[in-house]
Amino acid sequence: MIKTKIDKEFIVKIILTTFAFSSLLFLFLIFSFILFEGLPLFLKVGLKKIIFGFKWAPTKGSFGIFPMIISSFFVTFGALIIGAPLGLSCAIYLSEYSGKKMKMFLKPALELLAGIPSVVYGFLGVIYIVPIIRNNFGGAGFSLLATSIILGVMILPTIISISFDAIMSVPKTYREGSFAMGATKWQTIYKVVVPSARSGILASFILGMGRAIGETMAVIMVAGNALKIPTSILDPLRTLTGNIALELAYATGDHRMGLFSTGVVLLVIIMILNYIANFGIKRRVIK
Amino acid sequence: MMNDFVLSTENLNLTYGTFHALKNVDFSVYQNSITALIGPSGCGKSTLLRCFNRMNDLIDDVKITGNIFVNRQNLDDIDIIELRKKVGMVFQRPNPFPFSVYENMVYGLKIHGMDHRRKNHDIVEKCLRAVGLWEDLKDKFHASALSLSEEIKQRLCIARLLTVEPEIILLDEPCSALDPIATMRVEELMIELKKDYTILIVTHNMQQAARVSDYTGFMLLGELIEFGETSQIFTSPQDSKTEGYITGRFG
Repeated sequence: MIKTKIDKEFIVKIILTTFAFSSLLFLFLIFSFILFEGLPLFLKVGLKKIIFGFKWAPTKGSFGIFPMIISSFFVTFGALIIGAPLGLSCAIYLSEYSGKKMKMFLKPALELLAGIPSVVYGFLGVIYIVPIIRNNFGGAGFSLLATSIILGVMILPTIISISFDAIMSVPKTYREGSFAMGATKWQTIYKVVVPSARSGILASFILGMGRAIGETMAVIMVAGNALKIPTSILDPLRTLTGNIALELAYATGDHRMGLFSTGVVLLVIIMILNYIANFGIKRRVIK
Repeated sequence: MMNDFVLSTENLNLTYGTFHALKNVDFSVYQNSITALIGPSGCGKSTLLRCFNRMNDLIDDVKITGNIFVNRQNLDDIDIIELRKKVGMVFQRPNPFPFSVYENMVYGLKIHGMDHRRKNHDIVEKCLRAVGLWEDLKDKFHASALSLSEEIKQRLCIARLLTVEPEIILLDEPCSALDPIATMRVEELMIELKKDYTILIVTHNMQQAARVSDYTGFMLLGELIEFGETSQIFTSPQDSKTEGYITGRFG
């Protein structure tokens, strides 16, 4: 009897281990696939000409993606400027001020925000935000500003939920110590609680950046997709992700490879962000 | 003697929801003395201590009736910020903030707007000297307070309080996280601090109460059973329950 039980346990363990590693396998496959398709062009054209090249004319042999790299960073920081203060305020409200009922209502609502498909965000952007910008500030409306606003909202759930967890994990004894010295609630929050949760809050911003830089559909719909470095927040731009999605359908040969090398650059940027979030910041928390 | 008490309660009752935690407590703490509250776990001694700086406010569902006086002023008439500045508290587990030693020491000054760059250093030095930490920490201002030993952390927490010049210090089982040698040193510190401050300590260590305190109150199931000079409580208790507890028959 006992022996069969152990056997069952063993089989379950083997099956789960296999499944767990299969997701790793997918990661490895995606990685090697993109590198395999994208790297030959780096060898042929040269790393410098691709990353620091200003001209993207893949059918004429120019594969410069520098404007798109810059544009991707612009929209990411734009999103952060909008999303970070909003998200952090929301996390502070949820953890420190809201009652139990409010929390039970707000948390699922925010999770729903994360579940809205990105095409819906893009749609709302095209219907409302783009015309508002066009009518009030000029330009086409399809712009860095519109993209930043949409992405700022889209990264809210990431920033809120991770910041919220970080703030909630600040020990109660810190708050008590502060109150017992005569600090007000707000003093306690901004001088003790938020600084104590600093690492987790920064991690939430960086993971939010990762989400923003990787977003594609909503960005294509509101960014205008022009191939240049934007010089004002009302200028249109094209991001790395947008470039791949827009052109892959009709790209062949070197052009196709150029898109894959765009993917390689994107992958590297996201890996760096994740590395910072996971190791640079979280490790300090443990210490 | 009756005139110089700085903390007192009159017919104090406190309930958490339906739980009656303090029952008709009449209690006083005299100036520049150490008063100990003893009793088995759950007898309400910490709850009584926390009434004096309104830390019970942080808990939902607490109802308090009766009167509490701090410096003969009714608690309801004192601004909570002023009250907590005047009545400092040290917790069971040392709770320095996860910042540097110096940041911990100037926290109180900052929140009360007493933060003057020139004076800060002198105040920090004075308070660290008062708890016997100056020599240990004068070169470690920028070290994280979390890297210190438990005893040093607890002393730092006491020093942190002293920066805002309290008159009364509440200690809620301050030695329960410390080893015997560290406990002895903190007890010596308490006796030292008695010259300038009034101290109320909750402890479940009877020997500690006997060693450091001038007055002792014995609590059981939310009632203050007996209160008097420590020597009298420990040598000739009037109540049979007190006698039972201090001789170790229960608790």
